[in-house]
Amino acid sequence: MAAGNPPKIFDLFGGAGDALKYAKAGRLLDVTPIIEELGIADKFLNLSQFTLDGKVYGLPIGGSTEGFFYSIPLFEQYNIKVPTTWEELEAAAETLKQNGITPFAMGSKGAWVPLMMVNTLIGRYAGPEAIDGFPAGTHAWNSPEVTAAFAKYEEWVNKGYFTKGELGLEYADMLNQFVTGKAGMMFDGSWRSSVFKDPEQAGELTGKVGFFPMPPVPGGKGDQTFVNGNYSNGYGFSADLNERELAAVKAFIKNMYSEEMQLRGLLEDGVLPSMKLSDDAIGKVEDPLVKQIMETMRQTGGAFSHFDSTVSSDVYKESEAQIQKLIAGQATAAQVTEALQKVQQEANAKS
Amino acid sequence: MLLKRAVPHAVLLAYVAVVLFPFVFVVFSSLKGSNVEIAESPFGIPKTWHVENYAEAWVKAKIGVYFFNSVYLSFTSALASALLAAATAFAIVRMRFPRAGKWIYQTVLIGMFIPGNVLFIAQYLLVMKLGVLNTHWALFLPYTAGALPLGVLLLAAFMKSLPRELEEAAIMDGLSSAGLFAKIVLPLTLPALVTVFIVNFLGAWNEYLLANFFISKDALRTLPTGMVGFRDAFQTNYALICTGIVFSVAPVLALYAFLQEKIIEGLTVGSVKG
Amino acid sequence: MKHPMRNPWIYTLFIAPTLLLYGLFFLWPMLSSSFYAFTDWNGLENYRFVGWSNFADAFGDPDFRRAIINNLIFIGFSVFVQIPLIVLFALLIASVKRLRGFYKTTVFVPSIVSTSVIGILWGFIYEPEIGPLNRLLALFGAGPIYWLAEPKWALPAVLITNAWQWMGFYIVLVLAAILAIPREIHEAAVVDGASGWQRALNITVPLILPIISVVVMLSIAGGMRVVDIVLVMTKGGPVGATEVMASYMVNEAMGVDPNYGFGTAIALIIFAFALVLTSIYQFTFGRRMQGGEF
Repeated sequence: MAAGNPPKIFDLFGGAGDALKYAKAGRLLDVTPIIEELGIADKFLNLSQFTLDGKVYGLPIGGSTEGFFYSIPLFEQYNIKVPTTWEELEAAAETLKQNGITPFAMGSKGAWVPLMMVNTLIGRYAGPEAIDGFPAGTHAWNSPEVTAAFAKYEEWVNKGYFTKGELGLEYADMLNQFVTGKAGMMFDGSWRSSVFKDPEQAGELTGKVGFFPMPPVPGGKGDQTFVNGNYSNGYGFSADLNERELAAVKAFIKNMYSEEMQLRGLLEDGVLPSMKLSDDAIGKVEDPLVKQIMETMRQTGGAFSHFDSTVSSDVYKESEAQIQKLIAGQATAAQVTEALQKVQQEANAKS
Repeated sequence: MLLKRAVPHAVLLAYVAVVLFPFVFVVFSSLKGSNVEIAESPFGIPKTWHVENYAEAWVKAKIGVYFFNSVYLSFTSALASALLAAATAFAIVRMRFPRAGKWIYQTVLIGMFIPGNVLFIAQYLLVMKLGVLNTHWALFLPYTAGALPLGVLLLAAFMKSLPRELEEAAIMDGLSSAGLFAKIVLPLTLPALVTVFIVNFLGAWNEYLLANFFISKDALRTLPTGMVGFRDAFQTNYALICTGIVFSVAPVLALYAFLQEKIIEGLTVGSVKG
Repeated sequence: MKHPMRNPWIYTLFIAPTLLLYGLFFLWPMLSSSFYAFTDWNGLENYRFVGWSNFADAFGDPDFRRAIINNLIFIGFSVFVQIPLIVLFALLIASVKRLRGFYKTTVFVPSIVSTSVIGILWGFIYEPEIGPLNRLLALFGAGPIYWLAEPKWALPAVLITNAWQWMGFYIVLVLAAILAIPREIHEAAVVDGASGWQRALNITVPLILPIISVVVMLSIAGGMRVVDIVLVMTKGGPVGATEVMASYMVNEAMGVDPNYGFGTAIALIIFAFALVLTSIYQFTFGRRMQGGEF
């Protein structure tokens, strides 16, 4: 993109740090007329990550949610039932810890990994509106609620609930911890579900993984049944197209964003649809894990995004630095949220 | 008396052991069957020699592709810079434009003082502007350019010592300066040329920073970047990763085994002069 | 008739490509860096001049200040820990008659291998559960150390790997100088009754001060240049414990949200530091060690 010669059709990540930035610079094609023409404009579940000033500049190809994967064998072994309340979740973690199993697998060398859980914690403690509220200025990082979310994460770190040496482990190591039975739970995105069908990647745990959303937090604000829903992975199109290329783009959109393709993504890769599917199509899903995930989506009151697509990159970079400091014990929750709010205010002042 | 003699050797052998143990470890690990085996006996000889790991790594890590790219890029840039440096050294040292020569020499010398990564970003932007980002030119050009200062330095020093009579005889025979260069000087400079070539080849072969950021297309990647990518993708299959390391290092070690004197000489002399 | 060696066409032909490449990839980047460093260009929109603010931001960022300190630690380690060892090992190799070639060839090996591969290799050695280093510690009953995951161990770990890679190179360099000392000097000292150690300290070392000086300068330059090993082993983490100026620069300029203006400012800061440190050294110890002449 920055090189100045992007292809005509490309992978695009939504949000202020990516799609909206390029949209502002005029590099992206406004697809609003195309989707209206094709009649699919209102079939998308969430276009907010690609919409600037009412115009749509990219189309999400799939969605994902982030929640807890758990090891069915380990839960059975220690008689843990799937947590539906916060107390049950913490009890489950404690039971695992007592038995020498790491409660939550984690690899935080790449800071985005722990930030997944942090995001949902914020959605629980401070309410779903907070995620969009930071850049809007209606919610502050250093508010008591958001600080409480970080404090809970800090508490779990101090209790040793996360993999030891996590700061040196990558995302792939986290999966490894989980599938080799060293950890009982793993907070990750629904895109991981396809891994658990594949014996090469999931080893002993193939087909023995379940999913549950983060339970409501006692005293949490806002609708506690909301889950994280990301519709940020998609395609974008160059603003610089001639007639022929424009026609090709239209054909691409028509083919890619059809029920058939959405269903394929779901069945083959466990990628949640970004468009509304008919019940008929949904009925075709057989994988129990994917079914669990989709059931979760069905039962929620709504979804909140990941803040990595709502805040500017300055703020996101700061959150990466801060979460690692928190994990390393170099900063407290209060210090983290103060630092974040400072950067957020600077960012808000600029835009 | 014997003890006294033995002490330096003991110390040195201990140091050599420290230097070599990682290589031994990697080779052994690459032939082991599982991570558990690697963990239990790091320096133990593998129970069974899983030579198939090498085939697996070659395919999975696409080592063939990276290897080819590294060879071709290193070879061409080393050759190009050696020849260009030779031509320039010849011009500066032997041809009769003394003032220009001195000025050019000083300019090129400054290049030796700039730490590698200072120019990195500016070079990235330049490569972007030239439109060759993500092509092999993006590496070939900086590698060749980067190898020029040292090459000119070494070759100029060498050429200074060639006797004038040769020149004069050749000119009497009617050779032009280009002819003199090609037919007489170049062959005579061959030892120094080989040294310069090897040093530049190694430099390009091992280079990581530019290779990593200037090329993102997998099919064009070189070994260092490819290996790191391989490591990131197969974090947990240690035997495979070790095989990859062996693939990357073996050619260099083979080269070293045959040419150690030249290599040592080239790398150390260059540093001292610079 | 013009002398063939004064042929301007050939002359130009022979130097033009070199100067062109060199100018394009050395001189022009130096100039453009000096320009972009004063802007906030991020590759997309038009840039604005921001004066010295990039530099102010850099020095104001505690992470960058830590990176500066880490670079100084690298240099300090190279000069004060590695150099004495290097001289010692060089002296030892020079003092033995047999196996000298063997020692020289083997210690040199790590310096010709790609830094990135060495980073992968040692990353493996430092692996907390499977790596041999922790297995060794376990033999002595010491718990597993999370070498690259703990802020307090990560930098020492990288320093050791870096030392492992480069010490051999310098040892061979110093060795060559030691072996170049005329034998007569040593023989005269032996006749006077000097022991091995006395000879080493009073004769050899003073005579090789020039080469040690070179090693110091190379160590300073090398310490400022460190980046590959950090990027491959820790990416500057954990929590910036191993961040050096160059890795900070790379992370800032090539990350998700590139800021080329800021990045080139850092590049210039690195260059300035290298110049300043080398000059300080040259004007204090350098002159004395080299006998006032380079």
